[in-house]
Parts: sequence; C-alpha cells; structure tokens
Amino acid sequence: MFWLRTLFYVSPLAIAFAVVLLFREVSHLQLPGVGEALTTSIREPIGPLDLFTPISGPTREVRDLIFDPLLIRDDDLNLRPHIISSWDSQTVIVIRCFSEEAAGEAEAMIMSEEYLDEDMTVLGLNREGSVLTVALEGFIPDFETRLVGNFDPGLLGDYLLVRLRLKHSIQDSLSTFLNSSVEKGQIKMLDFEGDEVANLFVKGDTDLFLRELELYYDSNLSLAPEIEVVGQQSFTSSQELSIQLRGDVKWHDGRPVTSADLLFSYGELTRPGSPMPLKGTFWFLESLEAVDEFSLRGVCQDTPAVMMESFEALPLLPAHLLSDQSDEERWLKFVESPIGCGPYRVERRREDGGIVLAVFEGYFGTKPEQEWNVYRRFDSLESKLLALRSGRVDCLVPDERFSDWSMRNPGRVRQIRCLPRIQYLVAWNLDTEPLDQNSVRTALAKSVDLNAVLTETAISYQEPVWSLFFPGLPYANRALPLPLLDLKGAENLLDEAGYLFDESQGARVDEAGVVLTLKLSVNEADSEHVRLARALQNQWAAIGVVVEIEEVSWEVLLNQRLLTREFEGVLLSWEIPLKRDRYEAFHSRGVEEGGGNLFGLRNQVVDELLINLREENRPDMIAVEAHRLQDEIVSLQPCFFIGQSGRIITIRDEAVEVVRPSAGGESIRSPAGIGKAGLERSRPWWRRSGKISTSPLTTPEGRGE
Amino acid sequence: MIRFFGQRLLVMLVRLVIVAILLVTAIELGYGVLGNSDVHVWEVSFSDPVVPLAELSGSSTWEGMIPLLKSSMLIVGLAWGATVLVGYSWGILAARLRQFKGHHLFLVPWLVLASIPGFWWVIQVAIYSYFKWERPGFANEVVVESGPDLMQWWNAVVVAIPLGVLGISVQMRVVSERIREEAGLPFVRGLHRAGYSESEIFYKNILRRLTGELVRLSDATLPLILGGLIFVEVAFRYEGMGSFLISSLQLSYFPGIFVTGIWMAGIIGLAALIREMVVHSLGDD
Repeated sequence: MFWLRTLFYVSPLAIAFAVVLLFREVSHLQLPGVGEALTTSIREPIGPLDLFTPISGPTREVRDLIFDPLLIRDDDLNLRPHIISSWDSQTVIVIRCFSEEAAGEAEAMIMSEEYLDEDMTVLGLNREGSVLTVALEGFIPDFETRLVGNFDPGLLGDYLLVRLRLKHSIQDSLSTFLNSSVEKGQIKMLDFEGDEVANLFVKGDTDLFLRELELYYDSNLSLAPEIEVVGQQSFTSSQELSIQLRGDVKWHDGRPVTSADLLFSYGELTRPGSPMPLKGTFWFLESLEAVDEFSLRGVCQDTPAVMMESFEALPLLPAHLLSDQSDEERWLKFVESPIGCGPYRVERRREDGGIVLAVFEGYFGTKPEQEWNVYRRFDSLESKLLALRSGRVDCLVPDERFSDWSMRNPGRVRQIRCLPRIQYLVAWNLDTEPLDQNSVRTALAKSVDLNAVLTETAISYQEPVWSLFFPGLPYANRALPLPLLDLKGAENLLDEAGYLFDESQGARVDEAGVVLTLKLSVNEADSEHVRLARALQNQWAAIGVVVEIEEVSWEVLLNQRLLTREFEGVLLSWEIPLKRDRYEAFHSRGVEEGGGNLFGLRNQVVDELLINLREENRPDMIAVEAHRLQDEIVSLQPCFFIGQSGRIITIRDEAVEVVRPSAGGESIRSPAGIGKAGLERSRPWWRRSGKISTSPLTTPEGRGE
Repeated sequence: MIRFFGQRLLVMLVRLVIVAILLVTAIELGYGVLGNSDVHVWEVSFSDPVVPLAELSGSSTWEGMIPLLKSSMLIVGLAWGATVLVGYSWGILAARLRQFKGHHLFLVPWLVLASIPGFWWVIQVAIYSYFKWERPGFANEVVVESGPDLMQWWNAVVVAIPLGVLGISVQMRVVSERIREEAGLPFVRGLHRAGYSESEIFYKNILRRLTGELVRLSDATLPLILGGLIFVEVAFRYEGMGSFLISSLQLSYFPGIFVTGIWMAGIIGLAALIREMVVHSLGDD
C-alpha cells in the first residue's frame, strides 16, 4: 500500500500543477493579440448587417466597409462611376420609310451627317427593309422630331400611327385580336413599348380598322384600353439607358459581380412586397435586361436628371447566394456574415459581440493599407484605459464613465463629429383638425425652444435641421428658414385660429369649449423618440396645447397609423438621402395609401418644384429649385423639423490617420477626419498611425486576446 | 438508513427555517430599527425587479441569479475541494512525520499564506495582470474565441486560491493536531512496546480509530470559505453570490440579502447532511 499512500501525499501537487498549467495557458492566451488591427471598442454587439434596414452606429460603419455602392460620391459629392463603370443614354428612333430604296438613301444622308443637327451624335445605325433605326447619344425630348424633320418628306412612309395602351399583356391581347381581325391587313408595321403600349402603323381604309379595334376593346374593358390616334407619323422613339459594369469586381467568395447581380437586386427591391421597396425610386425605368455578363440595357419611360441617383441607392446583392427567396435561414445567415464586394470582408464574428474584418485581397480598387479592423468590447473602464495606454484600442464608443474620464484628462482622446445623417420630425396629418390649419402648425413650430429639446451625448449630437438635402451638396447651401422661437407670435396665431386660452382649464379651447388636444404617436421601442416626444409635450403645454403621447409598437405605428394615415402627429426619423429627388415624400401623388407622402400634403407649387428638381440638369437652377422647395415646405409646415443628429466618434489621439490613394498612385496621408461625403467614404482609408508602440502582437488568428 | 436520512433531513430543514427567521430578524433590526428604513421586511416583494442583479448579470429577474450561482458554486467547489484534498493529505502527512523535530515546518507555509489577507493576493494579481498581461484584474472583455473557456477557469481559480489557502491551513492544522493527539494516547505506547511498526500503528490503528472523527472535520472549513467568498468576490469584482450580497446590502435590497443568506445556509446544511450520512454509514455515530 506504499504506492497508494505516496499517491495520496503527492496528490496536492497535482493541484499546484493544474494551476501552473492553467496560468501558462491563460498567459499564452494573452499574447496572440489583434496585431496591428485598427481596434474599435464598442458598447453594443454588432447587429445583423442588413442592407434593407436603416441602421446606425458601428453596425452601419461595418456594413459600409463590407458593401460597396454601385456609384460613389467624390469629395465634392458628385456622383462618380464605381461598380457601374459607365452609363450612356441614347434615344432610339425607328423610322418607317416609303420604300427600301428610300431607307437606303436616308441612311446615306445620316451617315454623311446631312440630316443631323450639331448636337446629334449617332451611336448606331441599322436598316432592315424600309425600316431605319437610329440611335442618338443622350436624351433630348425633341430629338426624333428634329431628325425626321430634316428628312426629305418623300422618303418617309405615309402611315397613320395608332397607339394602343393596355394595363398589361398587350402582346397577348393584340395577338388574339389579330387572329380574328378582318382589317388587320391595314397594319403595315407594329412595335411594342414594354408590356403596355403598342404602336400600330396603319395605311389604307383606317376608319374601318379603327372601328374594329374599338369594338374589340370595348368588350375587353378589364384591360383598361386606351386607343390614341396620334396622326400621320412614320417614326417612333424610345429612350434607352446602357449600363456597363466593371469586369473585375468580385464578391468576397471570389465569384465575379455580373449584370445578373444587378438585375437580381433591381428585381428583388422593386417587386411588390419587397423588404426595401424601391419601385418608386425607379419610376422612370420601364424594363431592365442584361445584354451580356457586364452590360445592361434599360428602357426608360421618362428620362429624369436624377436617374443615376436611383442606382446609387440600390444595394447590390449577390444573386448566386440569395436567389432562393424561400430560404429564410439563408438570408439570416447572410446578414450575420455577409458576402459583399467592399474593401473589407468578414473574417469572423467574435464571441463578445464584436467582429473581425480583414482587407479583401480581391478588391477591385486600391486596397486600404489597414489590413485588419477589429470591433470588440471592453467591459470595464479600467480595461479601456489600459488598452488606450498600451495602444490596443484606437477608436471608442464611449460610455458615461469614459466620457467623465476623458473630460478630466484632456488630450488623450479626440472626438470626430460625423455629418448629421438622421432627421427627427413630427409628421402632421394635414387631413385632420386642427392640423389642417397652417396657422396652428406654424404656431406649434414657433413655440418650441429647440435648445431645451435637443441634446448631445458622448456618442451623438443633435442640432437644428439645416436643410432638406444632404449637407455639403452644392445646392444645399442655404439653411432651411425654419420658424424661430416666438411664444407670443405662436399664441397670437392660435388666438386667431380660434383657440383661446382658458384659465380655468389651463389649456386652449375652441369655440365649443373643447380643449385643443393633439395625439402624438411614437414608437415605444425608440427611447430617443419617446424622449423627444415628452420634451415637445412640455414645450407645447407652455402655450396651452395638450399633447397626448401614444406609445405604440413599430408594427402598429406603421400598419395602423402611417400606412392608413390614421394619426394626428407621428414622431419619426429619417435618414437624409444623398439624392435630391424628394418626390416620394412631398408630392401629391404620394398621398395615396402606401405612398411616401405621409403628411397628406397637396400643393401644386411643391409638386411642380419636385418635378423640376427631377428634370433639371443645370447646377444653378437646381440650387434655385431646391431653395424654393425648402421655402415652400417651411411655409406649408407639413411637418415640424425637430432636429438632426450625427455620430460622434472618439479616437485615441494621433492613433488614426487617413491614407488615401491619389490619382497618381501615391498615398496621401492626413489626420483622421470625415470628409464632405461622410464617414462612409473616409472610413475605408483609416489606418493605425503606429505612433504608440504596441506589444509584439501577431495577427487575429490567435485563439483569443 | 432511510429513517436516519429522513431524520437528519428534517433537522436540516428546521435549521434552515431558524436561519431564515434569524435573517429576517437581522434585516429588520439592521435596516428597520437601527437604520430607520421606511421599508420593512414584510413589505418587500420577490416579484419586483431585482435591482442588484441588473448591474451584475444584466437581468433584473431572478433568472439573472443563475449565472452568479454557477460562478460562486465553481469557486466554492474549487476552494473546498482543494481544502479537503490538501488539508487531509498533508495534515495526515504532518502527523505521520511527527517524530521528526521539524515537522511543524510543514504547516508553516500554509499558515503564513493564510495569515496574508486575500486583499494582498488581489493586489499581487492586479499588478501582475497589469504589467505582464496588460490587462486589469479579471479583464472580463478577454474572450476565448475557441476551445474551452480557460479564462473563466482562471478567474475562478484566482478567487478560489485565497479561500483555498485559508481552508487548507485550518484543515491541515485540525487534522494534524487531532491525529497527534490520538497518537499521544497510552495505547500507542503499548503497541510500540508490543513490537508493532510505526507504520502499522499509524495507519492500521490510529487512522482507523479516527476515521469517523476525521470525516466530521470535512465541512468544518465551509463556513470560513463561504464567509471569505463574500469579500474576495467583491475585491476581485467577480460576479457571484458574494457580490450579489454586498450589492443587495448597499442597495438595501432585502430579498437579495435573504436569498444569499439562505443559499449559504443551504450549502452548509447540505454538506452537514452528507457528512452525517457518511459518518452514519461508517457506524461511527
């Protein structure tokens, strides 16, 4: 039994051995660190990297590093090619000539530029029998009439153009008609514009043909037929948009980005019931089809100046991963660890809710110098401070304790204020009383002291709304002339509107003695919205307006208040878009159910300005129209603009620099900052400056940090 | 055996009830009478949000106590396990070597360590973590991304060590002294004279006679460990039941104080029950 006793006596050494072993292992865990990764200390876990949901903070920052837009903004916020390398617009004119010989003669005249005006550039010319097809560069409304006007009239065919418009399925319907038609011999030529319009070129006894056509479609009213006799015309025209993609863009899984991806993204986001409905954004596009692997062609029913801004807003989705829509789990997996085509790819999610991003080796553009980006959590102030001192953290999302510390220790960190991206507003329902009165809305706007409402925290700031448009855009150079705080003026307006202050009730009442009460609906899950609603309630109480705050879930707010427009006021926030087209938000046509005009604003001047902004190309006129729109919106007060907020990023002093490639291929270094185009454009070029030496750490491949 | 078990279980439950009454009385006396608190023990509700838990585990329901419970049980398990293993083995070894003059030195390292408060151990660990590992204290943000969660074990070991050292020194001393006391009895001299070897006397006579008594000493250090747990957990900012108790005391959260007290009493009672069952099965009642 000697051995048993010996074992018993030395057994405590096993404990000591286990502790030493554990110590060695744990100390080993410490050594593999994040290397030269640009490390951001986060407070909340990085959420799903969803392209369809508005997100903010570090999650948004990560998403923008993973996904690249189709088009990009330069430092002056001008739209520039990116994944879409080029785009051309062309007007395609189909001319029916008198005969094949006449078509040949006209073709020769076009080739010799006899029939072309100075501003016409021929991109393509094709002749098939007596039909001549000319593609001219650009969209100019009177291109076709001017070109055909230059023709010798004797060369043109003598046709009556009849335009038939149906709700849908025009080819099937017309084919059925032609099968039974007696007068169909008079149709000399036929072409279609999408699924709704057919151009019939008829010759001969056209009255009989028209009567037959009308009779047929009178019995098919379900298709909402419209028959228009355009008159003697031998041509039709259409506008086409050609889009060329870069051929060297790859997804993070190595698959190339092709026109199929763009087509899939367009189809997915413009279909009914899309999670991010962009149908309204692409109202001008009749159809979009792939020409080859990297080219697409779109047929346009309108040719606004803001066309490409719509493509800028279209997120690019990998068709090869997401085309199976029935697989919900696949989508959830995708947003957890998405495959994008941006400069950084997801290396892995961290167990503390953080994420590790690695530079994408197959990135088509200049690769950022910073190889790793790590977002991780530091639980205690002490660990943050130590990481700060040892250079293991570069950016921070500060909490209250850290903010207190940084105030007591100036110079250790510095703050970067991002551009304001979110606007807070109260949307009024202009179809309800008393909000249908402009004076009441103006009085409400004049009675709010924004200084008492807007706040600033360590991670975000709030300020009064500056413009309807993205800050820094050339036409957003004039402030929104919002009503200033004027309590007396507000009270006078309410008095004039018939709402007098009743001392006994401590509130304003109408002639019938009913207290002026407004119901303000707010998303209960958004603490900032609730805070703002309560602050406004206090402000409006000062002029005797009683505000009842209705805190409801987002689903209720969306489906039972906004979409049905059954509300008086709703506190909302929206992201300030980069595009200048605000048609959806303010145009009368958006009042319909499901439209973006939540306010019920119906104003002809605003409608015209919105259309003009869509169509205008001249920068000076864009500015004029934009300023006029702002003035009109302020005077009409369909909503009360509370303020706008932007992110505050805290960085270790001198820890980060911006290293951007120049046109000459050299790197330009500058201190970390946000350019005019915002954090999205600047962040990929952030790099650790290396001014504080770190411990000899390796890559994030280690087992732990 | 079953009857004995039922009897001891009943005794344990009675003890728990007594502890509960004493706890309620102490809380009311401390806060209500001496502290002039507006809230009395009969006014509190267990269904209200558990405020101290919100800060410790992020959950303000009683479910949030489960991770704290697990963490503390791990500490108690490690400290008590080490105490029993080292205390008995080296306590017996110290007694076995009693004929050597320097055998007392065997206990000295443990007694020295036990006399150093856990506070100093905390400081040592903090200094080492700070300068060697560039992380403060427990550095809870350090996450093991793959493999077993060694950090959790390491953190538990760091907290368990001062408690274990304390327990081991006490356990070793009482075990060793009790055996030496037994070895001083006349029958041992008789056995020597009868020609028995030292080994036979020690293992086959002294230890065999003392088996029951030594088993009775097994949970003697448990109250000491549980008491120390409160202070060490707080000192290390270790999120466990000790931290919960202190947090509850600071926030005058009576249910937290009560539940923690009952938890400790429950552990001690359960250990006593097991010890009694083992002793009974040895027939050494």
